[in-house]
Amino acid sequence: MDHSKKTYYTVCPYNCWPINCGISVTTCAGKITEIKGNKYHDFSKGRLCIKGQSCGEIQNNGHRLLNPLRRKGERGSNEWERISWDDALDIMAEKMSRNINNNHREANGIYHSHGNIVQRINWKILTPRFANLLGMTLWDGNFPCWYDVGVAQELTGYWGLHDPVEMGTYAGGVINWAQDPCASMANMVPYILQIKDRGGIVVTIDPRVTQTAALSDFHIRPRLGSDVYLANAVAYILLKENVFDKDFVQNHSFGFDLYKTHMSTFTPKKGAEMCEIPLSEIERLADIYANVKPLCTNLTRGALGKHWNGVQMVRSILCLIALSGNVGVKGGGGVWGEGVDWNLKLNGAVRRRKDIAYPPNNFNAIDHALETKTVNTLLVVGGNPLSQWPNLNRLRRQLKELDLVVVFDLFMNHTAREAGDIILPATSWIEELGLRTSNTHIYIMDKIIDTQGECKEASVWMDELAKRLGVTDYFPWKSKEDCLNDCLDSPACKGATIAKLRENPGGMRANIMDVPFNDFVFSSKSGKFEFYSQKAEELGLPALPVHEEPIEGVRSTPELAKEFPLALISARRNTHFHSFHNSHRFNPTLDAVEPEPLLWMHPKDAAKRSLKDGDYAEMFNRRGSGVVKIELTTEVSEGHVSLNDCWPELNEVTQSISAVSPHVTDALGLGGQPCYQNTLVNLKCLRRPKTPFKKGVSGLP
Amino acid sequence: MQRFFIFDSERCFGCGGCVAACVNANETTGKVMWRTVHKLPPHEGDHHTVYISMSCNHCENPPCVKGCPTNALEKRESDGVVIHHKEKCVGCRYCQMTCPYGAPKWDETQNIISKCHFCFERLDQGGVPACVETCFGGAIKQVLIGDDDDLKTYLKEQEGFIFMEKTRPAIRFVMPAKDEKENG
Repeated sequence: MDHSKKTYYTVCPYNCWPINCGISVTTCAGKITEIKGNKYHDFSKGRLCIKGQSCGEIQNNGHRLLNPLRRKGERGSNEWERISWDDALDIMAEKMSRNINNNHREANGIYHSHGNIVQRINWKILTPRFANLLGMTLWDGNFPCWYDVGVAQELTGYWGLHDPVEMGTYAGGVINWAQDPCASMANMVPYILQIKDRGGIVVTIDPRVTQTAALSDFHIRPRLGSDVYLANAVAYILLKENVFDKDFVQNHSFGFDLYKTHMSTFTPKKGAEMCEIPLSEIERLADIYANVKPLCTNLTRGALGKHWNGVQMVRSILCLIALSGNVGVKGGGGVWGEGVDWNLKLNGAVRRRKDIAYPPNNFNAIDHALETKTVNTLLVVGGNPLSQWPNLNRLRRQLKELDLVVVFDLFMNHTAREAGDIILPATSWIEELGLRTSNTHIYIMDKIIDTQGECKEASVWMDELAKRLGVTDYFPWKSKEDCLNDCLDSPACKGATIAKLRENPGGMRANIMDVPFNDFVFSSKSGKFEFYSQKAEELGLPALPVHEEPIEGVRSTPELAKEFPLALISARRNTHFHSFHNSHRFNPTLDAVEPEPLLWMHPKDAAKRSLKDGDYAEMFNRRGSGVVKIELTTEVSEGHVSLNDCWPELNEVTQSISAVSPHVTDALGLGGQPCYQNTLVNLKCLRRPKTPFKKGVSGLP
Repeated sequence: MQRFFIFDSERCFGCGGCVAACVNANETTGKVMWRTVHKLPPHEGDHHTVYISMSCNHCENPPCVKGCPTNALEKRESDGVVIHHKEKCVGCRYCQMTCPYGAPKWDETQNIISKCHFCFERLDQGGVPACVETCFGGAIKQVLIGDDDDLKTYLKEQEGFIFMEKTRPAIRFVMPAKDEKENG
């Protein structure tokens, strides 16, 4: 056996979009000896966050699924027996072929989520290809995440995905609007600090004192859900003071006059009252939008999208970016993101059945499809609906009533345990050859160690299943490398091959525009930036950014607020990435650092309920209840509490409904997420811990 | 010569990457964490949470070394780094009682203590500690100082930290930018 040390390069499996850090893995005699940050990676430069540093605890984890399993007892009894892959695939083929023979291909559904996005090619090409060639219903797991931001962008015609390195180098300032990159994308922070170091300004707009607020020069804390008023009041000032980009408005926009008239109703005085902030803060923000050039507004993640009025919030901010002359400008722009596309022709969309009405990719539509059994067989690939979706009791019943539920994952998760019939063991990210695009570059994700147990790659078992169902050309390539080289055959990936990527551990620059939208060609109906959205009008949505109160709130539902007076803010902290690895309970480091749900609460709200720091309390509303540990902090203002997301045991309390209707998301090819930020709760003390709770002792605040 | 951790609270945002980097590099398996991030929530009406990442401070006058009955703890002459020799440790936990900063951690799987050793093997090969290497904010740094004058650019004081004159912890803090301006 070769005992020399070898170093391979891959990308972090926690796929915090849009930028993933580079990882180098050293092996000796086929065993991993070190996993660390890849110092050659163009963006992360050898650094990793808490999740990335602990990713070595995944592949040899004692909880890994290593063989296919079949349910032995009742659904949800969590009793299993080992079966062969052949038997598992035969069972699946039998159920699926029955739907196909009955002319109900759409009854075979696939839901693929973040676990499958670890390998970008699986997400973008190989899984959609499987669903399309077999005529299956395809639900894409990004919809709980940020699609409402996407809806707003589609309605405006402007996505504006900028490179954070460009921001760090050129921006005079950054506005983190309802974004906390310090908690969700730590790798962005060096580029934010770069602006500060150059004398630029960092602004955070968030009701909480977030980790990013702690690094900011100016922090505005608007009332939860009042962002349209804040953005429009700033627009009012720019228009009144005549300090907006007239050239852009005249040459590259549509519906400006209507927008201007509409904005005249959003006076700063009214804005201050609606946002519950001093007028001077609105004026200072307007001054920043007017005078800091270029200015980047970070809208990367979907915090705003988790509002009933989220689409309008994002629309109002996009209009502000345009008005202030930051579209198509180096260091300006809207969001951070990647714009690198593969050879998407391979995804089989052209062969998708046009004669079938598929249930759209939207929670409201999915609920209907499951309730009516339009989908009766569901393959869950790298996802965990019974942890992440809304309305869990109803969903639990619906899944248990399906003919077949198959879960493909690294670990047992809530969906597998409670509703699964067949469990398929997945390869980890270093057991298969893959690719990743991230920001402006393309990276290799090398196969570094042998596959554990009987684990298989998604595309391998999908090919075996497709053949059983009569589709012989799902995987026509001779090898995975051939497949990936074909996937790289796109204008954006020009010149990249697996062999070349292996020679470039720092990644290869993709062939994309340096500055998005500097050609001023927009994807709207008019081809211009639409202040007045014609597409929105067509879909029955407000064409101009309007304010609407949260569906649950002290102002909007005062009667409900008497019973449940605290507005819950769903937040992200560094230790969680959705429900990965059984909601991180199987990652010892992350489990140790954040072992239980911690609720931030203002001391005055706590005193009203006789709650003390470290108490366990029941958080409840009409939907359900669950136990949280109280942390007293002024990081939330009175009337608000804040909880890290991804606690399945609390999902009944924290859930909500999708704000955007299926006909809208379907027309735009997007999903719709629930408005998790529109939830009222109350708390009562359960018990006091025997040992006083000490801040920081668990390793993190 | 003494090696110091230099910490800049204006560049720390509490991500905890240093905590896991330490676990990863030293294979302490997630249950034993040598480094901790502490949080000081903002005062009412203020907007700035303060985060402090801290491990063993490798004191210039370390009480743990003095208190160890089996000489399992040693202060290196070359750079003052306090190293734990696990083969000599009998698990008496005296060091835990004497350390004012809670640096020695109890490892229940081995019934001995373990603690931050400044990644001395990396240092000896010209590298930097894992926590320093991974810090996205550049908040944790380390310097080897032989002359007390070189320490004058840093602060001993930091909100949330008590400098124990008796033990003289080898950690210093970066002067806040606004103070620097005011002072300079």
